[in-house]
Formats: sequence, structure tokens, C-alpha cells
Amino acid sequence: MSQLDVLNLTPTHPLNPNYAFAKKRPISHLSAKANHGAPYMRDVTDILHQFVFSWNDKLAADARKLKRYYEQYRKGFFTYIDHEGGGREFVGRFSTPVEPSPLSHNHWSIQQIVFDEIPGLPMRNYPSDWAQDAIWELAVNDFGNRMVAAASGTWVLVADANAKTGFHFENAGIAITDTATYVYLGYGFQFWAPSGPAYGQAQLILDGAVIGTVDFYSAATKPSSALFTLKNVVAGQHVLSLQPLHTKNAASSGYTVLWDALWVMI
Amino acid sequence: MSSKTGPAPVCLLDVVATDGTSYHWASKELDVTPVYTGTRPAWALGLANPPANYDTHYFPWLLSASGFQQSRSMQSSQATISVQNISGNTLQRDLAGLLTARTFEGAIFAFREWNLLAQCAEFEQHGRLTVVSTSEGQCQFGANPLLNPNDYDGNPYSYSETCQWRFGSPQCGSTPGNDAAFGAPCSNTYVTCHQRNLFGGVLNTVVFPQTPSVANISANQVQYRRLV
Repeated sequence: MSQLDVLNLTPTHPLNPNYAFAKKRPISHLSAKANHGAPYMRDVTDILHQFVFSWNDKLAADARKLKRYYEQYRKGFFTYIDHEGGGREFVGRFSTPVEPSPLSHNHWSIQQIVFDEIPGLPMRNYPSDWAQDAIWELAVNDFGNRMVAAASGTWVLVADANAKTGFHFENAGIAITDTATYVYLGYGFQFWAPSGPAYGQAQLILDGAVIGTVDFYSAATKPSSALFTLKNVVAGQHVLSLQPLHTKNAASSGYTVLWDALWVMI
Repeated sequence: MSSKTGPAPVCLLDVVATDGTSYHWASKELDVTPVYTGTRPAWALGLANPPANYDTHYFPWLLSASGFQQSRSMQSSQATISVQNISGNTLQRDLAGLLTARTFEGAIFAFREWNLLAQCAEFEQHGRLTVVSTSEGQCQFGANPLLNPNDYDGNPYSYSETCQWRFGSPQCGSTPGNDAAFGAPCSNTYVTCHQRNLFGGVLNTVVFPQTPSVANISANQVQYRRLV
């Protein structure tokens, strides 16, 4: 059951939908724009993916299996594998009834069936094709708006040529309750930041649970790189926080911690 | 106010909240000499790219403004100003934070329609804001004119020849200590008042041209309340 029940295990499985099917991301944000000005956008729901499938000519047995998937998982979910999309898996259910139409003897057509991904569900294999699917969530977005929040303590934007956008969000690293927070929509993430000889260590907190430590120290100043990666995160809205530990590498000359960018899997 | 040719005018809004902080919003991001300036709010300190001059920089937050009317009478109408409530960091919206931290109810504003070609205002109105509604996407302000009799408090007392203080109250001033006749309360008239320096009524100086005969004067004391 659940994520272990796979609709279409192989690329040649008879329950693979006919190509081409629609794969879209429903509007999940609010936006506002003055007559002459940059747009503002904010995610307000956590819907990530939606597919619209059709099976044009199926045997009666396959049509019955599809109908069973709809009935069985109206109150649950199963795994669909997008073989065309590199074998990436999605968990969700059919949100429209599967109603096969007869074409001829033992030939059935099932059209326009919507598969909705459901956030917050465990997966057999979490998405990990960073180069294809991940997007940048930056401390300062392209319109110059700071997106990371100083939830607690003193954090300042500092110009930094080694940061992704030319700025990083910095804290002195003394008070361990100081917190920078970013809310993102997606799965796992990579935490990117510059490193250098005067930086300290911090902990990352995802949805209230400590998930690991980031060490910003490097012997020489280095451009932003992935300092922490977490792949197995359920789809949805997540709150990621960074708190200084007031610790440092023995060779480091300071405790400063910083926020630069997230590479978020969507 | 549309123009048949040339660029559409830009709507400019200056707001000074009741704590003295000022805000400059427009339908286009630009720098113009403001009508009002005030204290720069702490929010501005966290901007990634702060403007060179906060007072002359208008952020493109103003979505719409309509309903401004001018009248020769004392008729007042409320215009509607919509400001976006989307921008901000991923944790908090800018405007929502400002509305929480500041008081925009009664904030003074100056609204202008700015002609880009002439570099001057085609229309200008000053008034006071009221927060009509706030939603996920925008905040609607009601823009009231400065002269709005509806805003005025009425006189809590009525003009009368009888005193409106309750006998023995602090306003009356009569106490057992300063009033030997405290046991016999007044009749709220001037002639029966025990503390005439605190009499809370209007003194009526009726002048009788002729001395009336005693027979013509009613023996009944009338306490009448007359609005003037």
C-alpha cells in the first residue's frame, strides 16, 4: 500500500499512460504588481505537481486495474513513476474518477485522468536530480528583495563577491538563540554559502528539528558551495532555520555564520 | 484621470503614520520630491538595496487608487487606496509587519497624480487614512478628506440654563466640608446653586423693560431646558 504500491514499475508496464500527457504545476502563489514595477510573489499553497493522463487503447483487465487504483486510493496514495522524466517518482492519487469508455471488444479508452501529487507523504525514492529539477532560493532575490528573515537576533546583509547574489546574511555567531529563517516550497535542499578562515559553525533546523551542523570554515576564502545536503524531505512547505553554535574550527579566527542560498528540489 | 496621449500619470502616495514614520508608495518605482516626510521606519533598515534617499524614493506598492472627489459643499466621500501585501521575506509580509507595528488609522496622507512629462502633479489631495480591510494579497485603505465633519466629536453637553452637574459631584464642587447647606441639594438653577463659581449652565440675562407687577409673576419655579 501507499508509496510501496507502484502504478507503473517499468517503462514498458501496461499501465503507463499514453504520451504526451500534461505535467503542470498549478498556481500555488499570490502575486501583485503595480502598474509600473516589479512583481511580488508569495507561495500560499503547497501543490507542486499535477499530471493529466490518458490511456487510449487498453485491454479490459488494464482498465479494471486503473479503476481499482482510483477506488483503492481515493482515501490514500500510490507511487507513479515518470519514466520519460528520468524515472522520477511522485506520490499521490487520481483526483478524477477513472471511467473507461469502450472502443471495441476488449479495447477501452480512459481519458483526462488527473493525478495530483499530495504533499507531506513518504516516498520510495526522493527526487535527487539536482541539475534538472532544483531551483535557487536566494538570500536576496533577482528584484533586490531580501527573502531570508532575521527571526531572532541581529543579522545584516553584507556585500560579498563570493556569495551567489553578491550579498550574504551575516550574524556574529555569539548568541546561540539568534536565528535566520527561510520558508521554502519543495522537497530536499542543498545549503550553499561561502566559507573562509574567520567563520564559525551553526546548526540547521528543519521544521523544528535539528538536522545537522554547518562549518563555514575554510583555510582560504572560497566562493559559495554546498555545505549541507538533505535529500529525503517530503514535498511541501518547509521552514529552515540557521542558528549559530558559538563554536568554530580550531583554526578559525571567528564565529561569524552566514546565509547565502538554498538549492531546493521541486 | 487618463490622458489621450503620452504616458499615464503615476499615482504617488505619501503617508505619515501617527508615530511620525513616513512611507512613500507609488504605482511606479521612482524618485520624486515628497509632500510629506517623517521618520524612516526600522523596516527600511533591513532593505537589501536601500534607496539613496528614503524620503524621495517611492516603492511600487500602490496597486490602485480611486474615488477621489472634490466638492464645493461640505459633502465628504471616502476614496479607496489599495496597497500590495505580498512583498517581504519568506517569513513575513512587509505591509503586514508595518500594520502590526505602526498605527495607520488616522495617518495623514498626500495623494498625487504625477505627470511624467511635465514633472508635476496633475491632482493632489490630502487627508487621513483608515484601514478598511487587509487580506493575503493587499490592504485597502479608506482615504478621508481632511475636512470631514463626521470625524468631529460632538459637544457632550447641551446648552441649557439649568446646570447639568449632579449635586455633590466633583464637577459640582459642593462638599460637606465647604457647603454648610450640603444637606439641602440645589435645584440645578443658578439661584439655588451652592457653588456659583462652578455653575454648569448658561446664564440667561433676561432684561425686563418694565418692572412687572407681582401679580403677573408666576409663583411656580419653572426649570426649563432650552437649547440655543
